[in-house]
Amino acid sequence: MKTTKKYIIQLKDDSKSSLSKAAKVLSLKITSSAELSSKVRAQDVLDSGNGLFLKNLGLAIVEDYEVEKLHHLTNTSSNPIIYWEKEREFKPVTELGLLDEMKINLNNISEKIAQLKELIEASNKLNINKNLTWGLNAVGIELSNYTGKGIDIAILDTGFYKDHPDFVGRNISGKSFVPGEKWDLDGHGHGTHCTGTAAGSTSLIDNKRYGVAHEANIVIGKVLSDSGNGSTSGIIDAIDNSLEKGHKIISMSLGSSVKIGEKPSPIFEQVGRKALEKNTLIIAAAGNDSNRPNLPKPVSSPANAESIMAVAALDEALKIANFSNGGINASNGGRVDISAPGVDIFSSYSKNGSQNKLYTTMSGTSMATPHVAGIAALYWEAFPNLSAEGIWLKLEKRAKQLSDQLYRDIGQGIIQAI
Amino acid sequence: MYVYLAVLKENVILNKDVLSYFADMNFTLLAYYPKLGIIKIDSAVLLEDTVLNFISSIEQEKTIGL
Repeated sequence: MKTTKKYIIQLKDDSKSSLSKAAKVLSLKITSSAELSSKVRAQDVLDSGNGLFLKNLGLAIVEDYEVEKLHHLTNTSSNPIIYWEKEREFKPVTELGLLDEMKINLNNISEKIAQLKELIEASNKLNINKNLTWGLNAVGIELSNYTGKGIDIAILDTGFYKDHPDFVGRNISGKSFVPGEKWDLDGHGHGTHCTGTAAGSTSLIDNKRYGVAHEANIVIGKVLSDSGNGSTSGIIDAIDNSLEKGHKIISMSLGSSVKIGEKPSPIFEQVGRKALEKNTLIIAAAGNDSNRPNLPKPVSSPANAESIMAVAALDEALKIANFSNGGINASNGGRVDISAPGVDIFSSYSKNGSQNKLYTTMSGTSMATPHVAGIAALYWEAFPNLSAEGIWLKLEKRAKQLSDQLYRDIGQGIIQAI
Repeated sequence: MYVYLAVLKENVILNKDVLSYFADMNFTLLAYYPKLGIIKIDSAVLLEDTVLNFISSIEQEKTIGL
């Protein structure tokens, strides 16, 4: 209800003395309703700056009065006023009227929510730590007390540049599943980049931290050649090896495109299921075949297997990356499970790679996947007795939902560190 | 020659009977992944429409990239 500038005042009694006392303390002339006529109407009295006393009700009406004076008067002992309030506007109660009223109230709430959102966003920006990559900031790594210590993360990729200065003293082992190519050279660079994000630490050059689980055990499986290609059997061989050795997490930034409506590979369904049974979590890239805003392409294989966690990529504005595949084949199991930073990701690189340098910035669901693998290691350190499925559930449950983003594209939201 | 990956049926192990059946089918066993219950075989013929004993599903080896 709207209020006007009129005030309704209740006097102690309706005696003449009380009325004159009220007129005195209010510094107003108060006209009694007994004096009203067709020539002297109530509004005329108020318009002339006088108060109007409604004798049958014992109430007075004053207009444009200074509210501070009323506050002051009601606090004095000799005050002739019992109570006062602002005049209210009453409307007929109809369904449409109520709906209009609700609409106004909702608009007000909506404005308040927008203001609150701006405040939170501004506050989040203030929390950015410039010594962390944007990806680590986005997943909340600064607040985590965990490092992935003692947890084995297997990175199945192009190998790893073992002479990288940021990894001196780290527990690193590996095996090549590509005939004729060593696991510890990485003639491509992609594997070293993914390893850096999952389990690296801080750049020696600019002291910027880019790795999530910086005390995890690094296990390298070279399943992709230096030209970036591999075979299903090489990957399966590496996964079988990881299960044999009891590695907790397998990170696979690789895949092959699938068509709309195509079912997941029964081979990788079996692989993911067996891995979960043996308490190993497999995490894979959703793929980069899309060109948004066009309809995204379906999640690639093997990420589209029900028992393998599929990861989509987000940009720095926490919007889905234009290349990131979506859950187009979700009815066949090919959905996105979770999302992570995957655009302009700074990490370690291989001196043997095409760019011949120790660091570079790359984009892809390949870059999002090791963020999730590293954070899974933090969770396993925090909950050592949980099963792989239990860790999966926790990762999804604690993911942060993002407004205006589709479940099809980002799954349960952006992964968050613990 | 066609290279396939095949999921063995639940509880199937590579014993004499199974290996003998593969020999009869002219399969060459290229690899066995025991933790996964998967084998890699080489076949002289396409197998997609063939009903196979001891195997629940099969697909050709594929190339995977970045």
